[in-house]
Amino acid sequence: MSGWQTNRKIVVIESDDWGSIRMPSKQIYDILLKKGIRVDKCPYNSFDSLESESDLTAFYEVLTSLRDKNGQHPVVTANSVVANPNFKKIENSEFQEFHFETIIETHKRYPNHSKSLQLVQEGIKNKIFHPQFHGREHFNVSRWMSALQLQLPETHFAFKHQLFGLSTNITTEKRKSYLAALDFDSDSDRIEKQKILKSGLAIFESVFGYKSESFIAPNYIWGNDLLPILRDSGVKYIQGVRSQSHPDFHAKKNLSIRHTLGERNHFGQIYLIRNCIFEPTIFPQIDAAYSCLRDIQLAFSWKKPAIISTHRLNFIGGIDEMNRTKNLRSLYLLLSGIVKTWPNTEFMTSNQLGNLIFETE
Amino acid sequence: MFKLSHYKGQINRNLSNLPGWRTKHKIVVIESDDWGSIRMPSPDTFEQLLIQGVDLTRGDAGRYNLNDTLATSNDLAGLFELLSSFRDKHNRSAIVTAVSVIANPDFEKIKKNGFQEYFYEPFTETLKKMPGCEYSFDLWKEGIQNHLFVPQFHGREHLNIAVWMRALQQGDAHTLAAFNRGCWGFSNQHRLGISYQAAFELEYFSDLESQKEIVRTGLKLFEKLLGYKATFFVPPNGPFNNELESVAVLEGIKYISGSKIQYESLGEGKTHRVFHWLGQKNKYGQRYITRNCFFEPSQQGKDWVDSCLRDIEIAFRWHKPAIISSHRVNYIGALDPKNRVNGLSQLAILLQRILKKWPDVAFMTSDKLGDLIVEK
Repeated sequence: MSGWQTNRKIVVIESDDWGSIRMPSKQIYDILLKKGIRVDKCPYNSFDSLESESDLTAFYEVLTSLRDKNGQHPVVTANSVVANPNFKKIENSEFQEFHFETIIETHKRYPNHSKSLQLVQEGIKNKIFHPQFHGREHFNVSRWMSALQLQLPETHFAFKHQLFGLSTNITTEKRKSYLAALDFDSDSDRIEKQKILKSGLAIFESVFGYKSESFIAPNYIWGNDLLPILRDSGVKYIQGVRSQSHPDFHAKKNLSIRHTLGERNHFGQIYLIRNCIFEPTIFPQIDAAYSCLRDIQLAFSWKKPAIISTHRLNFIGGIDEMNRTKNLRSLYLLLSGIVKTWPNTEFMTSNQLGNLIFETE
Repeated sequence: MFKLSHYKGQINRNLSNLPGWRTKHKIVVIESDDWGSIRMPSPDTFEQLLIQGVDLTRGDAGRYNLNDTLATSNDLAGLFELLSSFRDKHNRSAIVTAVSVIANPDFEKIKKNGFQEYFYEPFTETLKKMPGCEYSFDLWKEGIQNHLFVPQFHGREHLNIAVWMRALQQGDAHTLAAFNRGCWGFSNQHRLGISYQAAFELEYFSDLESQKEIVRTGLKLFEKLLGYKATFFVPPNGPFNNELESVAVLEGIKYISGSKIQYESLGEGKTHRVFHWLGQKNKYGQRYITRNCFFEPSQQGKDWVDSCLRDIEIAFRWHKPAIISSHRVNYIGALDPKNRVNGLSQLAILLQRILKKWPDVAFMTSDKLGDLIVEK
């Protein structure tokens, strides 16, 4: 309700997790399940995988089939990580050293992925897919490495099969989330996260050919000490949900900080707040397109832009092709519903919206 | 829409105005705390400490660490210009009771002594070192002379010296990081949750003796620097032990600001609940002055003009003076010029609306209000 308002019907689609490996293949999914690790209980472990050429092609087909009043296709702000673990090197160091590979190398390693980054560049050129920075990796390096050093059995088993992302709700190990990449557990860990962020921002620029103007923290967890580092790299907009979870290792739980749309921080950065949800894989029992249209209607009734959260897992078919097929159909229903209901719709990237807020305030 | 919490708040605000001294006059007092204290030396300090993980933005601390610093000549000139443009029925200008600390730590000396001993400097020395503040003290004197800005006593420093020194001696990383950049006002960790800003909260009861000395030397320094004795004392952050009143009375303090419910600090986290009301007398004959209106425009998310006008209306309804609490942070632009613009423009609207709604209002300082209470 509070924050920046507009009479324009602006739709921003923000999609997180691109570039991260998550579940490498159906084969590995089956192996883990057989071992008794309930990967089937977590939608991310069941469906999310590195975007393949066919995933991107099918995704683009839906996006290019529609246009707004300005002739702009629906454009997805694709929040991407830029690195994954280099499993071989880590193992060679007997788990004493952390090594990563950039997503360029990861894509080369995966079958049916070698042209994915080329497709991403095409998506950028055609203004339908706009990568932004989601962190260097989508996992907490220090937590994962110390678990490997402590030889936690499920983490090790997963490592052997080239994955890190076992969710806390499906592992029997008592530990904190690996996915919360920028959460920190000590002061030295906090400084480590600053270094990771800095190197990630540089890799982002070298992979995509431009600086990221916005940033979204994995799991919405980040410390404010990262803000000046982000600003120095050109980040002007902070994507997120209403609450930032600020690490606080002295306390039992993280600190929750509320943000409003258009709010500016000390570093001049503007906060963008998601207010619509399209997550058919996470909430299969809900009619995702219909419920998202209602979110949008509510946003517009409060004179807000509609900022839709939709994670990559919805559009991935590498583990289960039905997941992609079904959800792309639903995405088409959503997007065509949007342009039909609000003929004045304008599709924008997060940066375009941020820039608009910047200019109108 | 019916909102129970809203009505509860209204009822409480009315009830809290019931006890204590009454007057048929419409008196408006603006009490503004923290003048003279360093808080955040510069935007660069904020940024460097933030990168070092020092907790600067927790809760309401954020607006202070982002905006609160020693007032520059520009800050003071802007405030004075505004105050002098609003006059009451006696043709007296609006006036701020500037609740001030009179010293800051002498960081260099403390460091030279290996954190074994505490040293302080008069705030006038601190001003000379801060860019933009070189001539601030001249403006302080001008403000006093022109009856716009009348300093009263907030403590010697806005710092719990005993607690802070112990943390420095123990090598607390964040305390040292802030020390090295000349400040302390972050959300520090403490076993009893004592904030460094809370100058008179007792960690150990034995700290009381040194606190008495702080009050004594602070009040003497106040007189030396400002040329008159302070008569009104507002303990920083609230917590303090009432034995300090016995020292304050000897140094000329006649009026003490108290919350309506005071949690008297007894050390080791123990407190004793004491009730106060406007005009209440303590055993030394000092009177309590309690605030009943709030104006903090640097805090986001509220229409402070509207809410303060409502506070004043309730105060006048119960024949109370309107005693407005409004910290220095609202009027400082040295760290972020937008903050001062916002604070001053909202204060202007508030004063304008006060004069329009209650043309017979009288602007007054806290000490003069105290005198009036004693007279009656």
